[in-house]
Amino acid sequence: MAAGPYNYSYIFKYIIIGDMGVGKSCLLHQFTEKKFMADCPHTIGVEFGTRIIEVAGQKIKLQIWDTAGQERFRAVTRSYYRGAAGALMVYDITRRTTYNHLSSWLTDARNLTNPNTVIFLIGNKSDLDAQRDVTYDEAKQFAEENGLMFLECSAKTGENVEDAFLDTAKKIYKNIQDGSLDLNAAESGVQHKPSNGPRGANLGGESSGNKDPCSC
Amino acid sequence: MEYDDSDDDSVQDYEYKYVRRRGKNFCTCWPERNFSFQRMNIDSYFYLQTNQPLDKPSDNLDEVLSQVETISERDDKDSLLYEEDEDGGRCGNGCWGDEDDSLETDYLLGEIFRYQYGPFSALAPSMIPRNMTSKFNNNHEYDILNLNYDEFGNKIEDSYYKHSNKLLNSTTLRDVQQRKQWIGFLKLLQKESELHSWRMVRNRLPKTKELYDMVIKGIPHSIRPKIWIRLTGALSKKSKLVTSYTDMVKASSIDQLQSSKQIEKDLLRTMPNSACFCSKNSIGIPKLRRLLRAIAWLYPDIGYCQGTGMIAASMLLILEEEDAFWMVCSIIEDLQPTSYYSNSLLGAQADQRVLAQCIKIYLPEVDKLLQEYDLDASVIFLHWFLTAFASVVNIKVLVRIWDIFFFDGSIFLFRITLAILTLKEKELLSCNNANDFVLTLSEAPTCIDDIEYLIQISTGFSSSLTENLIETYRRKYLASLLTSKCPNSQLDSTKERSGQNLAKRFSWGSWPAISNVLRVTNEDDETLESKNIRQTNIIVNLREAILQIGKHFQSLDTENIKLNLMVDYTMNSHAKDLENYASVDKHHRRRAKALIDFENHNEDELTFHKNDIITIISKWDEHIWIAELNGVRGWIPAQFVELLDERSKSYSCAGDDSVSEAITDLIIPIY
Repeated sequence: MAAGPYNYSYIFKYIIIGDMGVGKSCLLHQFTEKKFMADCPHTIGVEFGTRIIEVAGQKIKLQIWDTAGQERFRAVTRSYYRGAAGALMVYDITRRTTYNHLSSWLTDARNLTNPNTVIFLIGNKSDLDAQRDVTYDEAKQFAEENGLMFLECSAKTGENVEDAFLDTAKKIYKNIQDGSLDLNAAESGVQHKPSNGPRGANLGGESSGNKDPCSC
Repeated sequence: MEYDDSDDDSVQDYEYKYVRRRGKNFCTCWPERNFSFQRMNIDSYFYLQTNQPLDKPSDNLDEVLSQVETISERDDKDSLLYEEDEDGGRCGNGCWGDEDDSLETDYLLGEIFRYQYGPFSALAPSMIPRNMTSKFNNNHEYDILNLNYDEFGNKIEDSYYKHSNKLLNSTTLRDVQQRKQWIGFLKLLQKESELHSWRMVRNRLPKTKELYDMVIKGIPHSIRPKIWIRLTGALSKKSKLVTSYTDMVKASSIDQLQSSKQIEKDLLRTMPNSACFCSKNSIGIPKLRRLLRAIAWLYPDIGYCQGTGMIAASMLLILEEEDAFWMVCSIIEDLQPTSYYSNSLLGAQADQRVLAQCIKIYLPEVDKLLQEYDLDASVIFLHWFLTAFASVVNIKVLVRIWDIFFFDGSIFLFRITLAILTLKEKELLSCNNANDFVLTLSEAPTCIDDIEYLIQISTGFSSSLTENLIETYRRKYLASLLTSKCPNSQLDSTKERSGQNLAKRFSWGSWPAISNVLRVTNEDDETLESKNIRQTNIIVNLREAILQIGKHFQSLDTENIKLNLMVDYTMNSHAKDLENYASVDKHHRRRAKALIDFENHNEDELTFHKNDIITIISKWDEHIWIAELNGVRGWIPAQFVELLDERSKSYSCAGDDSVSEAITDLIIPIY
C-alpha cells in the first residue's frame, strides 16, 4: 500500500455486539491486524479499531467499536449503537446460551440503531466444529427470519472474517447507491468525504500513519 | 553442577555467595545491576522465603554476610523447594508473611532485596511461578527462563519497550534509606521505640500530612503489603469480621453462582501477559478464581464485574491472597463510590460524567476536541476508572498510583487522569482526526515513563479539585442518571436508590455503614466543626456558581467584559449593603414577578411576559397598578403579578423559571 496519506470517500461506523467470550475482540483483531490474538484481555466498556477497505473502487474507512459483552456494561455500550451503519452480532457456535441471547441483542440493535443499519450475524469459532452446539441451518433460519446477513467465522483461523466485515460494507454501500440510506440523516453512521474535494487538503493530514492498523 | 556457571559469560562477573544458617541455606547475594541475571534471582527467592532473622541486623550487606558462614555447596536446595510445595502456596515465614514477623527482619531483608532486580523479584513469594523455576531447577529448558520477564512477572515484549524504556530500567524495590524512614515513622507514630513486630503497628494509619508526604514519595516495595492494608482499612475489616476468608472461599465454592461461569470465562483473559496468570496451570489462576468467587459471594448485588478481576490480579501479585481479598473489599466498599461495580454501574457512569466535567474545567481545549469529534470520553476512561488503572498502566506505575489512591481515595483517580491528559495535551491537540485522537488517548497511560513528574502534576490539582467538588458533581450526575434512565431499567435504579447501602451477606460487626449515595448528615452527631465546614462549603459553592454565571454573561456579551469578577473581601465592600437594603423601602418601589403573559389592549397598559421582573411605581388602586418594564410605564392588572419579598432578600425565587438551561448547568447544585 502506498505510504502516502489515505484518501477515503466514506467512513462507516460499525459496532460489534454479543455475549461475553464469544470472541468479539478477537474478530476485530483478526480483521484489523490479520492475526489471531490468543491472549486477548476481555474488554471493559468499549474498544476501538479501524481499517480502510475498498468497495466498488471506493476507499472506505471502517470505524469499529468493540463492546464489552457482560450484561452490566450494556447500559454503557448502548450509547455506541447510535449512528452505527453496521452491527455485527456475534455468538459462539459451541455455546448454546450465547445463541439463545441473540434475540435480546437483536432487540437492542433494532431499537437503538436506525432502520437501515445492516445487521450481520456471525457464528464465531467455526474451527471448533467438534464442539458445535448450534447447527448452521438453525442459525441460518434465524437470520433469514429476521432479515439478517449470516456467516460462520473463525477469528482463530481467519475463515470468513474478512467476508463478514466486507459484505456488511458492500450492503451499506449498496444502500447508499440505491438511495435507501440517507447520508444527510444525522444517524446514518456514514460520513461522506469527497477525496478530491476542497476538503481533501484537510484530509491529507488524516493519515493515521503507523498507528493505523492497516498500514502494516 | 548447574550453578557452576563458568561457561556462562553473564554470570562470571558476579560474586556469588551462599549463606547458611541453622542448617539451611539462607540467602544468596550478589552485586547490583544484574537484570540479565535471572536464574540467580529466582534461586535467591527460595532462600529468602525460608529465612530466619539474623542476630545483629545491619544496613551493611557486608556486615550481614560476615555474620554468616559462606558456604560453597548447595546440597539441600531441592528439599527446600519441596518444602514450599507442601506449604500449599502460602508462605508464612517469609518477609511478606504473617502478622507477627518482625519489622527488623523485614528491614534486614530489605537490604538484601536491594540487590535484586531480576524477574519475579517484586512478587509476593507465593506468586513466584514455580512451574518455570522448577524447570530451571531440572536444568532443562533454559530457554523458558531466558524469556524476558520483569520483576512483576510480566512478559517483556517489544511493545513493552516501545514507550517505557526509562520505566523498564527503573527499579521498583526502593532504596533502603526510604525504608528506614518508614520504619522510623511508624515507630514515632506508635510512640514506641521498641516496635519490633508488625502486629504492634496499628491496623489503620491515621491520615496525617506527614504520612501523605511519605506516601507521595512512594512506599518501599518490600513493606507495601503491610502499609496498603493499613491505609485502606482492609486490615481492620479482616480483623473485625467473624467470617474468615477461608470460610467465604468454602461457601462460595459450594455456591452455584451464575457469576462463577463468567469468572471462569475471564480468568485467562485477565492478565494474559503475566507469567502468573497466562495459562490455566499458572500459579495465580486458582487464587484469582477463589478471590473473585468470594467477592461475588460476599456482594450478591455485584456478583462478578469485569474489571474487578484486573484489580484482583494486580493485587495478588503483590499481596498474599487473603490480604488481597480484603483490599479488593476496601476498594469496592470504601474507596470507590456506591454502586460502582453493581449491575447498573451507576456510580461508575456518574463518575464518567464527573470526569467529563473536570476535563471541561481543566483542559478546555481537549474538551473542545472531544465535542468536535462527538466522542464520549468514557470509551477510554471507564476502563481506567473501573480497574483503578490496573491493566491500564505498567504495574510499576500502578503501584505508585495505588499508594496514593489508597491514601486519598477515588479522587486521586480524577487527579491522575487529568495529569496524564495534561502530559499528553499537546499531542492530543495536534491530532487532526478522531481516530488519531482516540488512539493517542488510549495509549497515553502506556507512555508514562516519569512517574515522579506525573505525580507532581497530579498533586497540582489537589488544591482546586477537591473532594467536595467531586462529591457535588457526583450527586448531580447520579441524580440525572437516575431520572434519565430508560424505562426498562427504572426498576433496577429505584431498587438501588432505596437500598442505598451495598448489599452484603452480613454486616461488618461495628464497621460503619457504607457511604450512601446521597449522604444524609445526622444533625445530632454533627459537631460544630463539621457544621462550619459544611457551611463554608456552601459558601464556596455559591461563590463558584456566581463566578460561573458572571463568566457566562461575559462570554455572551462583549459589553460585560468590563464586569469585575474579582471577589472583594474588604470591609468596604459591605459599606453600601445597608443602604441598598434600605433604599427599597425608601423609594417605596417594589418589584414583582409576572405570573403569566399579558398583552396590552390599550396604549396605556403595559405588556409583559411570564417571569418578567416589573418595577411597581404605584399601588394607588388595589387592582390596577402602575408599573415600569424596560423603560415603559403603564397600567397592569395586579392579580397577574406577584410581589417580590426583597426585604428578606429571597431573590432566588425571582425568575428562576426563566433562567436558561445553560445557566442552570453552570451552577453546581447544593444539597
